[in-house]
Amino acid sequence: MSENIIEMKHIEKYYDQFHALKDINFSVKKGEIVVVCGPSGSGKSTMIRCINKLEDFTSGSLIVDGKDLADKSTDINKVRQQTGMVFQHFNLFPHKTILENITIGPIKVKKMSKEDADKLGMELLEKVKIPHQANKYPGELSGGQQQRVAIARTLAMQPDVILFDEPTSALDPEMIGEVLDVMKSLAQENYTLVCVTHEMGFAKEVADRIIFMADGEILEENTPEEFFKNPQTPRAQQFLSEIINH
Amino acid sequence: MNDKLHIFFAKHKVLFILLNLTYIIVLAKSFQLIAYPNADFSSALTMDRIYFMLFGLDDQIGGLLLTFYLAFVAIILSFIGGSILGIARWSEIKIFSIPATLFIELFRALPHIMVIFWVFFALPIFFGLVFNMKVTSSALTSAIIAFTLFESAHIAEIVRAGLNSIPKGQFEAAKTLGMNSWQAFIYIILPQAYRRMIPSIVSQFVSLFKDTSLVYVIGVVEFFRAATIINNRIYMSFEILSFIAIIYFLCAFTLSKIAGQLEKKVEKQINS
Repeated sequence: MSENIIEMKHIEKYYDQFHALKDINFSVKKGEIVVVCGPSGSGKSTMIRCINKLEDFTSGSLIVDGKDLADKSTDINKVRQQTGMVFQHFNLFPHKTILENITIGPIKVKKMSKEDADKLGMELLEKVKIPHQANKYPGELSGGQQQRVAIARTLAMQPDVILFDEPTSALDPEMIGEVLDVMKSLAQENYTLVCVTHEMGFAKEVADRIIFMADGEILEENTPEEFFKNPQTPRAQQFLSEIINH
Repeated sequence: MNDKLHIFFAKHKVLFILLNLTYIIVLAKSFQLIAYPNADFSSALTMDRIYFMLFGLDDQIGGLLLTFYLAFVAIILSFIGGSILGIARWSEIKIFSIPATLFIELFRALPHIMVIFWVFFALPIFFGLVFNMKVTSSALTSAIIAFTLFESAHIAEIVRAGLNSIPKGQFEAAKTLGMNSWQAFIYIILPQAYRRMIPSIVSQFVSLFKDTSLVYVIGVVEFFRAATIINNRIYMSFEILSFIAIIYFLCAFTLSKIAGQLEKKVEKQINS
């Protein structure tokens, strides 16, 4: 449980003149559940998108699963197989059925046979509680169902870490619960999760650690109990009071 | 029994329209009544003239059949050519995108009829001068080449627009599954782009089908030229031209109806 699966050191990122990430130091241990929160525009998404290199960082070092992402010879596709990602807007493949969405990764990337992949896909659909939708298309499902499929699609690659980029922000309020339930079940199964989310209830309940970011910097890093009880920085105090008041 | 027939026709409306010759006769009759009461369709459109306009001569295909052949070959070739050019331009890999862009912009800026003339008359001369090859130009081959050239350029722009319309998130989702760029393109981006392109591509093919009439200028005896040949002999322009107008309409109309059904079929696979 002590091995660091993600290790970010002195990560800096610029978009032209804009300094998006400022000296980010951050690590995640195997089996840990880390929630990243902060006001919008604070660089949360940019940071977790650096972990699977959907965003390049300007300087610093980033080791994921023992592989150095700053090193150009690292096979990024191999790293991505081990780091699943769930997006705010689900990004399911609309031309594939639900089952095909889940099996395409194992079949095309891992070269799994179609029979095995279908079996795995159905198991995962059971797990996210929508096996009866297997042959529909994503467009025919509700947002909450689509997001659960997206989680199943990620699980199908058996990743070491799962990154969640605001997984419930695009959902109608009544659908948030069903997605959080699936995420909680993953937390209990010893997956390593890094979640950017505004769901503070979820953070309180399952997170091992909370990272608070603002203006491209990590301002606080603490256990949920400590973070919610007495936030250290004025920015965090302000953020929490705003979230609680609404 | 009647019900069954009814359902069959409801399901295959398109076939019904195309195959039902009474439609043509009714259309022609109403034309005649409104526009030209003295028109004499029955003496203008004898069986052997209709046969010539639809199928050409016994030892040489022509007429509508040749129009279909020309359109079909040009559609296949320009679909392939247009896809390659469109992908090349979209790719932004300079060694592919610059030549593709030049080609597309050139052929989109030239009049179609000029390209047809150019391929028929100038291309053989060009080959003769540059490669010292003696090329005899066949009208039909020239027509196919000309159509493939400019239609590819048009299709390429549709393909590029289709590719551009796929949200970036699709590519990212494919990448996070560990796909390389090529796999993401082949399995995720391209199939979705083609589904979205169906309406534009089909309307392009419908206009290609109609534009095949242009090749009468280099002497390909397709439907339009076959009709003018008959007309030059019997001088019954109203009857002959009305006849081919109706046939052109029915073919183009059928094609876009089929496309409409295809579009409905993939509709739920386009947006999530």
